[in-house]
Amino acid sequence: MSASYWESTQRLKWQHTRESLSAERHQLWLLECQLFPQGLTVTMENTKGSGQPVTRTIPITNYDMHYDKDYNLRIYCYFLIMKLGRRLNIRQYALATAHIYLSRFMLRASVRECNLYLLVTTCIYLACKVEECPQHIRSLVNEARSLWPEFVPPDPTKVTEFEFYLLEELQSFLIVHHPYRSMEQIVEALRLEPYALTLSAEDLQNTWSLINDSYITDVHLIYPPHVIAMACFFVIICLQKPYRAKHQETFNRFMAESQVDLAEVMNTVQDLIALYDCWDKYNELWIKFLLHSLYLRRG
Amino acid sequence: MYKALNQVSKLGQDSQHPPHSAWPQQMSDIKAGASNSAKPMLMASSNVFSIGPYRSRKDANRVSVIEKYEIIGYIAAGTYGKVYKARKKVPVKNGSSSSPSDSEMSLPTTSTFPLSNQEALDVNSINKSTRVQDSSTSLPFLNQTQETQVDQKSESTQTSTVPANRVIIASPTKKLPMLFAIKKFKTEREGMEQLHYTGISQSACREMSLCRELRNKHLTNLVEIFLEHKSIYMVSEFAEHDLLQIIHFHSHPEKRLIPPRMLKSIVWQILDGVSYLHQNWILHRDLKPANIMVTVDGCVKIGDLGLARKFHNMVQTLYTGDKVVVTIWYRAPELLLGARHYTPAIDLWAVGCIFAELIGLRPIFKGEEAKMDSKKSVPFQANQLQRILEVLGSPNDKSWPDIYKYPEYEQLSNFPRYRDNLPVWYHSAGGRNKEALDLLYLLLQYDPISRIDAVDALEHPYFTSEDPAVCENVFEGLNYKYPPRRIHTNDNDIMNISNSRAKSTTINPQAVASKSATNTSLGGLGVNRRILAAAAAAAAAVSGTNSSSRPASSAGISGPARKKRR
Repeated sequence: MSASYWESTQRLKWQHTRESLSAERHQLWLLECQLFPQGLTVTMENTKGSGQPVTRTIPITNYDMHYDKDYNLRIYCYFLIMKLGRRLNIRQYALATAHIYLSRFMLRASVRECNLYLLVTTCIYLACKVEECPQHIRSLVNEARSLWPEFVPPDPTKVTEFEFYLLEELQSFLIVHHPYRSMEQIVEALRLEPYALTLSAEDLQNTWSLINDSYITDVHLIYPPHVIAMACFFVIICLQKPYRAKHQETFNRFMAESQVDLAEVMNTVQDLIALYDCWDKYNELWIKFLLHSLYLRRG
Repeated sequence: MYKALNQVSKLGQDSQHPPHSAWPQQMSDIKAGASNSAKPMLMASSNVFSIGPYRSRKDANRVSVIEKYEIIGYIAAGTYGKVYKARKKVPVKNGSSSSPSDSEMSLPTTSTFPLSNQEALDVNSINKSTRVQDSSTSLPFLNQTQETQVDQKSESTQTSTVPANRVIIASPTKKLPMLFAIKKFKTEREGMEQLHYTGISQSACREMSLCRELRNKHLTNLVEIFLEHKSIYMVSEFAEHDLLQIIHFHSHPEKRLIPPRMLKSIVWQILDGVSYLHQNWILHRDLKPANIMVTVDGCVKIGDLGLARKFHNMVQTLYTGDKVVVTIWYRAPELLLGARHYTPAIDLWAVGCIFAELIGLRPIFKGEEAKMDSKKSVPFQANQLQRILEVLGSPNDKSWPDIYKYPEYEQLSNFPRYRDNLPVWYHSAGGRNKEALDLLYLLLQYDPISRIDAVDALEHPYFTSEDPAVCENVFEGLNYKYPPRRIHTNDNDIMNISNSRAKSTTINPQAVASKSATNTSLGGLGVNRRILAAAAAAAAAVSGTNSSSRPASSAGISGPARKKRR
């Protein structure tokens, strides 16, 4: 069903548990270790004065460049999608869909075996079609090239080729349900009696942004969209607790009465908090450098 | 890292890429570097590897559609592509009869002519046989001759055996196989191996994504999707009939009305499917008799979701996406008047038109389509609107309060005024049931707001209070059978193997799978296909010219295809 999450392939085919997720990722991990046993060799400038550049090998078993473990990589992917999306004025809804495609794809394939920049471009290309706001492939590739000239080939058929493999990896399950809609429904429900809680535009904006950020984590592969929406509201309302304790109370009551799975909501909140911890340590230069070393090698 | 690349590229050696692409160049560079020196091989700057390693990994493990399905023939071809009839290959345990696995394992790609292929052909024709009982030559004899044939010669002989093979169906040992329809979306150039990946079309994208989600008795059920050779193959359940066919059967050679119970059951089942779609926020936007299938056991299935789309969470208006929707004769008046925002009511108008067509056995509003002009602006469909006005009378602000809001409203003043002629039409079409006429009125309301919706239509007294009751099998109680689908067997080569094979060395990277197993299986099927092609061409020639012509001579028709291969 495309109207309801409960009957959707998102729930029936692509909903993981934490266990199944880690089992699947372990498979990929093994594959990566097998395919790339020598890790990644990087050449860095010598920081101690102007000596010879230093060559170092990052073992494959390091967290770097494994999508499941490397939050640097995840956050970087998020920015890649956002950047290209903004350039073309693509609606957030389609970008969120693209992000889901990327996360699903990254469960089954390694960054080391396909071009991440091309993947991002392809995910957006496909997501726009599915969300009925198709982008012209040329303009998409042109924008992607202007952002990442060294990584995106000028030939649009590279994207269309990748699209095929992406579709295959997604098993053509393309319709995705997002928390944005649940968010609107929750806002509606909160406004009515007995809660009569009207959230400010700023709260809504923050919740919306929090939902955007949540795509970096695994929650979309594990929990239903309404749980994620609820968790984001919860976080936002907690943050303003000092000023409006009453809100928190009302919202807690609403949450308790809504029969949403509270354990799932709390797990989501946990993941979000963990995400912002990682974000503090986010090192864009490092991840960029790694990707450069991986994809571009100077002769 | 470079070592890893080496490994991967070795893995994927067999699936090397066409020279016109920049990446394979790079891949071979890597290999060359590895073999020449122990020194790390470095790529030229600004060279990025694309998805090469990933692609090799995937290509090595893909199961092909022709490994799982055997193509019986094609049903229809259209702008979207082609639909084939197929049966699932069942590995047979005891080797006497056809087994795809046999051919996969044992067949070299040479021109030897093993029994298994022969047999595969027989199995193929099983389904045909139920329809046409051909009284030509006896089977065992033919089989013998075929076995002794050698490649080229056999092709001509083969052709003559096709009709005979149909008799095989009678063989009691074989169960009736599961049938499927395989839709192959059109690729860039027909009849050629596609050179480039063209992005999947919006329509393929819609159909895939929606069919994956939807599951309803009255929608064609998607079984699986294959993505290979730059083409999309959607496998769904097979339906033996469609409404176009059924209507044709009733109107030729002379008119015979569709039995009331069947009519009612069909319309009810269509509405049930439409109501499911609408409850899922999906507009079909191309309902017409040809898109409504009926299975052998009389279950209506709405098909072809190529124009369908979700209408919640819309990022763009419906009009921006597609300027023109619905086949002209079934297009609702609000669309004709240029509506930018339309509703599920357009599907119900189409159901109304189908209902009327099932009653009258010809399209109720058979207008002529005004073609798109050079400026690509959407033309006003005056003739179609005229047809509607003639039957339903001119709309007014009572029957359609919002009519003046439509972009093409002004155009209406150019038409003469008509009065409502639907009852006259209904009686002249042979309709007698009052409730049916009432439902027809409700479906053909001008105003989309007051037009009945699918859920309400299902509750209409026509279905609920009148005898006969709606039944699950629309054919229930009939003492005759509808003719099965015509199958064209002149092109069973859904993968374009015959073409790609000749060129595989230069342009076709995927045909040569890296695993030797896959390799031989493709080869085996290739031979198989060749026989099929020859046989099919003959069959086509026979039915195409006149049935008594000598089939052997017609083998020449398959000439071009074969020439290419050699």
